[in-house]
Amino acid sequence: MHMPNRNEIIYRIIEAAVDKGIKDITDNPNRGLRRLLDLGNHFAKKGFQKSFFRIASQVLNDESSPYYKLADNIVRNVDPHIIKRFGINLGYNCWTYGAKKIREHEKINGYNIPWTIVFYLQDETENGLSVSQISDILNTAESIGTFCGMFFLNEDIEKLRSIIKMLGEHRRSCYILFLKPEIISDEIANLISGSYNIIVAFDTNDIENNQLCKNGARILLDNKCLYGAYCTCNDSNLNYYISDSYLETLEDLKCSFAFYINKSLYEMKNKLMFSKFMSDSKYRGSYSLFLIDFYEDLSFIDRVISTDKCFIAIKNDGSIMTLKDGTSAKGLNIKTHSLKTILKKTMPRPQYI
Amino acid sequence: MSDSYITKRALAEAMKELMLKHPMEKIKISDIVELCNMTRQSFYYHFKDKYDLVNWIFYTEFVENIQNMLEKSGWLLIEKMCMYFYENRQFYVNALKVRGQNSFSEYFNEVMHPIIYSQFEDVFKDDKNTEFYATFFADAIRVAITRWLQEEIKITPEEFVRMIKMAVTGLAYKLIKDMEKQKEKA
Repeated sequence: MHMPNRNEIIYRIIEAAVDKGIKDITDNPNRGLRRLLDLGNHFAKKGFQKSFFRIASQVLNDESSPYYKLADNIVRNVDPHIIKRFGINLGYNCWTYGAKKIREHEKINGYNIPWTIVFYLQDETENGLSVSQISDILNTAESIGTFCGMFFLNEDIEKLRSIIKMLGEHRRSCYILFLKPEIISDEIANLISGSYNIIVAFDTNDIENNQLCKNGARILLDNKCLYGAYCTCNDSNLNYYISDSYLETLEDLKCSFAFYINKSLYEMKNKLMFSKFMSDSKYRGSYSLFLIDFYEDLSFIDRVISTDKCFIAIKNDGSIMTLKDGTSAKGLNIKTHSLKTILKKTMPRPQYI
Repeated sequence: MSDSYITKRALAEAMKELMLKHPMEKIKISDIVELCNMTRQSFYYHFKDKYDLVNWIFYTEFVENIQNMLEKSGWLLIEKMCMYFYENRQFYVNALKVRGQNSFSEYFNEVMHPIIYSQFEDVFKDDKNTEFYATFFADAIRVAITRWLQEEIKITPEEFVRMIKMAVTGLAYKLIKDMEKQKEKA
């Protein structure tokens, strides 16, 4: 897909700055990172981008902040093409150019548009979504300003290969693959790193005493991928996932980020503990990795762009899930309805009289 | 505006003021920090050296300026860019006199190339050798702008851009005319 010329030029100008930023970080990590964030702050016009850069700059006023170590690790271990392409696709295409396009589209058509689409493709189903159907959905998404996708995948290696190749062709978007560590091989990691616009979060639900996570992380590291981990929290495992032991393990595996998926925290004390942990970890930054609250942080960005949360997930059978009722949006299926129709029916904008 | 940005802006203003009076090679870090009442430490907290500072001035000022020009396309955009350089000529003429690794001219090329390139990329977008052709013209125009600045801007930006335009489109026009004449003769 060809972007309008104005955005193409801005994209290229940012590329030149990021290239220099990466060189600067290699040369002097602390100063280089400050410079890159200052530059982001300077050009961020408004919204959460501006507050992100402001908070990040404040955190980096502390010379001993672990985020310096994180930036240093990324620059040393990740292919610079990935840092550049994934970073600009997320920072500019999704959150600046895409956000603007989303707002324009929402205003004209009267429904909200998510900044990212989640695909739950783990379930084996006879008539699962084909790779070309997924690509069509991504094309439609790009046309309305959504330049990010998150894919939860199973162990079907053939499908994984095809998806990676297809995602690489959507070169102005960025994608996160949520994978089981056992599926990560040199061949897969090589395909991922060669796409430049894909990063990986591997499943750590069995990380204790699990060699598979170590192997997966080593392969991703060897192939210069940008990667992190994810865990699904519930009332019985929360204490472990917010423990130093878990986070130190992720640091040892050289993870750059960790997604926390709050799927079934029912007890109030656990809900509070989880939310305090997430908030403390962001502002105080005790570990050299980014911690992301999957549902809350994704929705937060939606609320900034669209003024309302508009989380949407597509399952392998084409059915739709939103956060509004927590179940599949009844009767809607991406195989029989277009993405725009689904959004129109599930994400209407409030009408004020 | 962050404290860090204010500090960098103050260092930038001092550098620009000094560059109006002295060649860049002669300017020392101590001159810059003295002029804005800062310490060497605060300079090195933000910048590697004076070249790094000049690069920062160029990127932040030029890019901010160019963002307002991006609705213009093609030759008009190039003319607007040249007008910007003309208005800030003392700074750019001085900065571009320094050559070599890590110098401003290297960074100037890195930023200018993609902007000019993208103007030509569209012209050749249906050709399999888009990259080669677009790079060829981008290089030619970038080098011409650099020379125009290094030779201390002897002609106005309007005249300069008119001449470049003539060199590119005029050549194409002449070649087509020649081909038509040959066809007529045949």
